[in-house]
Amino acid sequence: MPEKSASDELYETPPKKDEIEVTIIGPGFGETVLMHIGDDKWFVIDSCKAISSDRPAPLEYLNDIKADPANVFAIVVSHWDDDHCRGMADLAATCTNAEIILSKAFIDKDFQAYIRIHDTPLTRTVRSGVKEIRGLTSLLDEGERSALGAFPNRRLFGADDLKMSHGCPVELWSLSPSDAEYQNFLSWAASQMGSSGETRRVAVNRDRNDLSVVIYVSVGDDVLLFGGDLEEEGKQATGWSAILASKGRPKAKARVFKIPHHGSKTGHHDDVPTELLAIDPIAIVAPFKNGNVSLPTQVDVDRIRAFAPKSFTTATLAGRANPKRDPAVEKTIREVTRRFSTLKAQPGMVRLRKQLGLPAEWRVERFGSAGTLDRIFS
Amino acid sequence: MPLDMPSQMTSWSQRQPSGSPHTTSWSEPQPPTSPLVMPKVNKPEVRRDAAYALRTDIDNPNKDIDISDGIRILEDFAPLERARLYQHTQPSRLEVLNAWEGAVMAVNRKAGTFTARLYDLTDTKADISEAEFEIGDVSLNDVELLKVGGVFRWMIGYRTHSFGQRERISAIKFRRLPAWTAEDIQAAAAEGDRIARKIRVR
Repeated sequence: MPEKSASDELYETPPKKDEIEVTIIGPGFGETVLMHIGDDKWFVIDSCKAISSDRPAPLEYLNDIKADPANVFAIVVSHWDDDHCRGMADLAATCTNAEIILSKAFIDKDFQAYIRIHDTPLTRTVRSGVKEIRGLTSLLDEGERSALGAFPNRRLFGADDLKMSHGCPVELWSLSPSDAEYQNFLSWAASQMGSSGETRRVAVNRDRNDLSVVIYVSVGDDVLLFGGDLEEEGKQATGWSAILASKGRPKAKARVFKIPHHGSKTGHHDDVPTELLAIDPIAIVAPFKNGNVSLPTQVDVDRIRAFAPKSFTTATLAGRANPKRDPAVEKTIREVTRRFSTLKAQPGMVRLRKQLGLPAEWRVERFGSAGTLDRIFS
Repeated sequence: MPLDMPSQMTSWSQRQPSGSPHTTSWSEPQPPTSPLVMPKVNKPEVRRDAAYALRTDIDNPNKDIDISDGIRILEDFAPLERARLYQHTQPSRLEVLNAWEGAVMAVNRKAGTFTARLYDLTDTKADISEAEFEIGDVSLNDVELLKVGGVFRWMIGYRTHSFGQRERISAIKFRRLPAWTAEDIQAAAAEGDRIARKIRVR
């Protein structure tokens, strides 16, 4: 399989009408996946901000390859907090023809009450935590967009919905979140509701993303699985266990796999490679680094490469220079804090393209700090 | 960034009366508030945990003030000089080297720490930071505000007294943002209800 670090000219070349493409951008504050299914039709999963501008990274990329945002037919929303989906509201507003795919939990009255109570914290720089989901909800409230609910084994789009000139049937499925995860999320939101007389706070997401949407896509015989942030708790009703146990899910195995939850072991289930993935799949990881916490770890890398030797990362985890501060400030930070780290978003991009109708392999291109997974620490 | 510091905020000149309203260290306009009747809140008992115990080992006659008002003095004066300043009532000047607005992400009472996301107030283009602080560095008056989502200011700077002595300080002050009222809660619930009924998710 040819691999290259692409020149600008290659980067700006849009996919052909009979070519499918998957582009994964991250990590920033959040990560994003764009997929071209043919005929200039795109769907997007989540959002993050571009480094070069303040715009959502998916819009920047579509602009770079001269693709029209009006051709985005769906946007999948699996995060609600500002730290994980920067630019989501802007993305949804710009892609005027996109259906919004999200868990119904986002529109539940208790969660919406939670959003509203946290909407105006009156802080100077700290974000409310709910700005993006608030903007998205406003679009839906004003009737500017329609919404499709994501839940297990739902065929969101079928061949009759997406008629393609290349003749390959296209299907888009959601495989999560499960009912238990839906309820867990709403219980959490209710517990976080403010009370009368309490000083205002900002909204902070909880560590576990209960509403992570796993997306399964088939274009003809090509199958792709986007694992989102789905974590595995070892319980039948949640995570990958719930997906593996479910009846009614599509059975064809994926050749391309977006590794969940930054490649961490919490996103791993031993049966996923054998039950859901084809032999020798292509795997992509969007890593995470915050101070001493880096994901994936070397153990994670070894585990992923064991079932997917052809694996890539959107960014390296090599050390990055800290910003320079006054020596007195640096000294004080060391004295006062137990830990201090700067979250430097440094997204790269992995792009896969494949010509339909030919016995062709996926072409992999890497941009920015993206590379092969075995060199993620270099 | 020199700021005039009112004399009552100089640790040495006046001890904070217990239960008094807590003012912010820096001159800044307070956010507009509607007339509020602050409900009486039973202040939680502050646990003197291991982190606090370590702090009382600092050789400082006013150690209770240092720890209880959210200000940590990092470069102490000799006791004699401190005694002279204690009687002095001229305002000191505060030079802020760096300041952040922070949001509490997690509180670990067992370990005596809290984690916060920090947004640089002195450089709005700076990247976001995360830090883990000692709960003992939070003013006793602010401990009730130490919750997930709580907002605070963290300042590192120099305080210069009128005699010219300078001390390096770190100060954490929680923001007493306007409280949610019963009307706010009801309005949020009503809006949540309206949205849930109006938006159709197919």
